[in-house]
Amino acid sequence: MSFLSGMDISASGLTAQRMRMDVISENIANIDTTRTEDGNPYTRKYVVLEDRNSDFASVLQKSRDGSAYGGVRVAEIGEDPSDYKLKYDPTNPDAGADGYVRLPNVDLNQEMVDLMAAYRSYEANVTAFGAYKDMAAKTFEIGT
Amino acid sequence: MWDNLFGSVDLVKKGMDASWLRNEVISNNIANADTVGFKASEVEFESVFADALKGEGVSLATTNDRHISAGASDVESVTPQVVTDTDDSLRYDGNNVDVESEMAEMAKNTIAYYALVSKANSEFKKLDTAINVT
Repeated sequence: MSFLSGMDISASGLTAQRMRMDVISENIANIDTTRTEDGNPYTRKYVVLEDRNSDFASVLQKSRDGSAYGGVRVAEIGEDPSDYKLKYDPTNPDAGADGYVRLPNVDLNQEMVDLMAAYRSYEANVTAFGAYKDMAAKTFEIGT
Repeated sequence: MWDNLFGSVDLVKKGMDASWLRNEVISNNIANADTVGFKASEVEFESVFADALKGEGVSLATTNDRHISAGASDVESVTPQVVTDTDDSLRYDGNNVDVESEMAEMAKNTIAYYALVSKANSEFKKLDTAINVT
């Protein structure tokens, strides 16, 4: 086990949670976007996390030197396949022939709840990082 | 006593290694608190170490070079083991990390580590006193 590898674990958690918050921000910012490059309304995105130890190379590394509690990483940013919301608004330039506008499948309440969850997880990682740092600093007091 | 001057410091070091590893494992659990299907791990050390200290440790006998020993009957061979908790989860995503209890474990572990550092310091102080007594 290397001396400060535990900090990388918490740092990976911070990176992953920040990515979640970025994607949630993007969803909220685009909550009324009716037109994107491909002609469809904005589609809600979500982050999939995975254990950084789950692939062959890191399992091999872990069994070779007995360390590398790898942390977490973003596996993919997925697109929510659920249906777009429909709103009757014939004056909107993006309305179809029937007068309905397709709005993004973003639910603001859901996004706010996810944002809180990501924020709390971020804080948990900050606390873990702090505990690790304090322990490492304490190590240097041995023999003084 | 003189055949192993730093014997007690070595024992304290074993505890510190276990504590350090536990901190990494808890950090990993917290980092993966939102990972679908992740199972929490924990470090098993103190109970095995206490048994070995009392001479009640049990280990598998090895009668061939290619046998793998398990468990530890003497204090030197006790090493911290990472055990994955495969319990079912109450959450929909199959993750069984309980962030609250991980935080509590982390606080306990930090204090235990500090205690071991003080213990190591006091051992060195005792040796220092013994060397300088004239």
